[in-house]
Amino acid sequence: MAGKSASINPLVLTGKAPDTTQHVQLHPLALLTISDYITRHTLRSQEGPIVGAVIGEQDGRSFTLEHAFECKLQELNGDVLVDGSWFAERLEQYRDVHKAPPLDLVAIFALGPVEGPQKVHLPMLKQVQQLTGNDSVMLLLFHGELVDHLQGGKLPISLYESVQEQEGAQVKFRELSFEVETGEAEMIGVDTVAKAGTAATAVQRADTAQTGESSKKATSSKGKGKAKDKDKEDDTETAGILSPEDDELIASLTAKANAIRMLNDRINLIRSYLTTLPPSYLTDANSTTPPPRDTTNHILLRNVNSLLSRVPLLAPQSPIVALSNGHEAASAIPSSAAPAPAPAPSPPSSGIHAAGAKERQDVHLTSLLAVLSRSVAEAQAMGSKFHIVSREKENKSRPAFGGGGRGGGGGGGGGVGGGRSLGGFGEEGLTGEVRGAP
Amino acid sequence: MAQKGWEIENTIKLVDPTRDALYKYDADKVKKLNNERPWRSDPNHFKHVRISAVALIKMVMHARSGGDLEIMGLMVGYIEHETFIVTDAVRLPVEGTETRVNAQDDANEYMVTFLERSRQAGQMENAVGWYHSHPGYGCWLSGIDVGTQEMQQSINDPFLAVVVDPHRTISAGKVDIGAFRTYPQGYKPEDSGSSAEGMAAVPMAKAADFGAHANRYYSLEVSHYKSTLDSKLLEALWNKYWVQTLSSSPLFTNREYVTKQIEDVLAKTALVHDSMKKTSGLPPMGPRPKTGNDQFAKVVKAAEKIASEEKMGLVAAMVKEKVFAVAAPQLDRAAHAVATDGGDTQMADVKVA
Repeated sequence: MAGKSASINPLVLTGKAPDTTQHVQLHPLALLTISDYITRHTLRSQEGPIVGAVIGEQDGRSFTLEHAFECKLQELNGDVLVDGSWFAERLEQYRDVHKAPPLDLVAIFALGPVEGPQKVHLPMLKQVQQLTGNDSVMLLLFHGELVDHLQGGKLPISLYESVQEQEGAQVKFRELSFEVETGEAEMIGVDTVAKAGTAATAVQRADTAQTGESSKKATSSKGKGKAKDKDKEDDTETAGILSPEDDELIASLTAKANAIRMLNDRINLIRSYLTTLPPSYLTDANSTTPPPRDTTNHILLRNVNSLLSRVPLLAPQSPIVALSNGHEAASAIPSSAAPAPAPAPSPPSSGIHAAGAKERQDVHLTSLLAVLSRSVAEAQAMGSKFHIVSREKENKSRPAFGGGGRGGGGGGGGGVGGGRSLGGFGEEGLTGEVRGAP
Repeated sequence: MAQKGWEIENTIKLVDPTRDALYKYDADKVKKLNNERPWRSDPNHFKHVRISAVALIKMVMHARSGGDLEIMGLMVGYIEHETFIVTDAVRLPVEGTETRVNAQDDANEYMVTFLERSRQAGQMENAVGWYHSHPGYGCWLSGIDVGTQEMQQSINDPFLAVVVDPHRTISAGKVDIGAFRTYPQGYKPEDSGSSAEGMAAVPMAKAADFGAHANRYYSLEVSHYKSTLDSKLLEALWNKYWVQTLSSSPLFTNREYVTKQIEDVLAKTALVHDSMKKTSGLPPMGPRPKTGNDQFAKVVKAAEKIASEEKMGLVAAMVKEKVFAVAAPQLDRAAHAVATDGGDTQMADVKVA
């Protein structure tokens, strides 16, 4: 293992990035593809380091990292390089199927230490940059050593862009910050896998026993309740205790509950941070302790302040303030009107209230539609059963009475009696409801 | 090479040979199974499908990216006992696959070279199936699909057909996916009605196609798997996308799709109504009302599905309102009360959002 100093990496530029920072969005699929490749590569004892490419969209200074694929490598004079012709053709194949929006190479990924890019990463990055003629290909490093110590949702990856200060000088790297962004379909896919995906234990002879067992081993804590629901979903609709619709409702409610819990945790975190700050002249006008300049994290405090200032934007605005200029005025008014009662929830005169009411009505309408159609279906079912029963009655009564007239009367009289007797059969419990049906 | 050694040492810790067993690939085992061909004797041999996390997400995203056009792709993986294990998915550059019989031929060259290059890079799995999308009309096999799958099963067995519905996926918030295998020609399954009834309501425009071929295939049980490394990353990712969970507005995003669904239910109801009118004059015999009931039962199911999805969307909107909007005025007053106490610091004005 080469001796690496703990914090200083000669290849990494420190200090703030210039104003023309790039805006990078990482998609979960790229990350999961890399992790899938790592798992496969390791378990199949494949040779060579783990290197691959990431494609995404590039729009001026903003990049997305959306899909990833592994690369065939070759060794040349001790340098690890990608197989040039293989790489070019493979990239072309990916470009072919990602045309709208057109995706292109934006980064290559490799395993790397926390300190940053190492000398071994240089040749292949340079080669790829030359192959594609794109100097802004980034380097994504996956830090295997961080995986078991993930805290606070930090991902074990870092992104670097290559910077060449002068022609011919050593290429250096600057770390980039990125955020995670997902599309709708991607989010649903990731959600499904996170909740319902079980461990990849080997398939055994008794397959049904296996799925029951492996679902109990669901790794994430959120998955435990979901795994049981998933078993029920696998059964046909009639066998499950909960109908599939109920299952879905429960699943989405649980997801929301988890999300709210997360929000609560975060807010508590911010609150506990703020309460641990030393008292200053802001909170207590008589305090004479000078604000500690060195330890206060002003950026953080500014962020918290801006968060608080955004809160009033969420309040459904009353019509009066909607006309005032800018958001500041709107938020200033409630404070000055503090003694007065809060703007009462007036009849939906503001746009968002009206839209919300409309949406609610639409949803209730669809429920009504569903209930109506079910009632009609039940009525029809009852009607047809009644016909069958009355016919049976006719057939039975004909040999006894030998008269057709009686049969007609029997049919009419049997109508009410048939309804009651059907209720007596205990078939559809809705006979009481549908008696009035034509 | 120094880097190689260092890497392998680290990655060993990232995998768990027992819980990540499906990621291994035993080429000899696969070959042996391919030679034995137990599925020849039993048309219902394969019963389960396990799809990896990346394969699933890739297929769903591909389906969604096609919009209202059907897309198509290939799945790679292997088989074990009575299970298909899908390890990865590959997009194919074809579109509009439901209207053409030979859509796959166009992509043949792409498929062959793609798989060849994958093998060169170390991904040794064979093609194990194909997937395509039915945007908005559910997961089942159309007549053309059945034909394609039958052909694939005769040449390339073991082969699997998977269908994804991206619109239903987004609307329900859950991946709508189905896996199927066709029966050989002339084979009559014992319980012919089961697969047909199990399907969720199929739109009227496609109902004829669905009904005509429903007996020629059966569906397999689908489950998903992920690696231990995936799980750890997903836990970290959850910290990022819980925001999306709370802030999504399904009622708004799915408006068009739901409208179409309602129109479809309307059309089906009209159809049932017409057929009822025709038969109402005659004395209702045993079988006739039954088929009417079946049809109507499907309409009811479709209506209830729409209602429940809408309800979930409304719940999302209500949750947002309750959590954020209701308490916001009080919160704001409290924030201002603190800020303007010390009169000299005009913090209330200095709001740089």
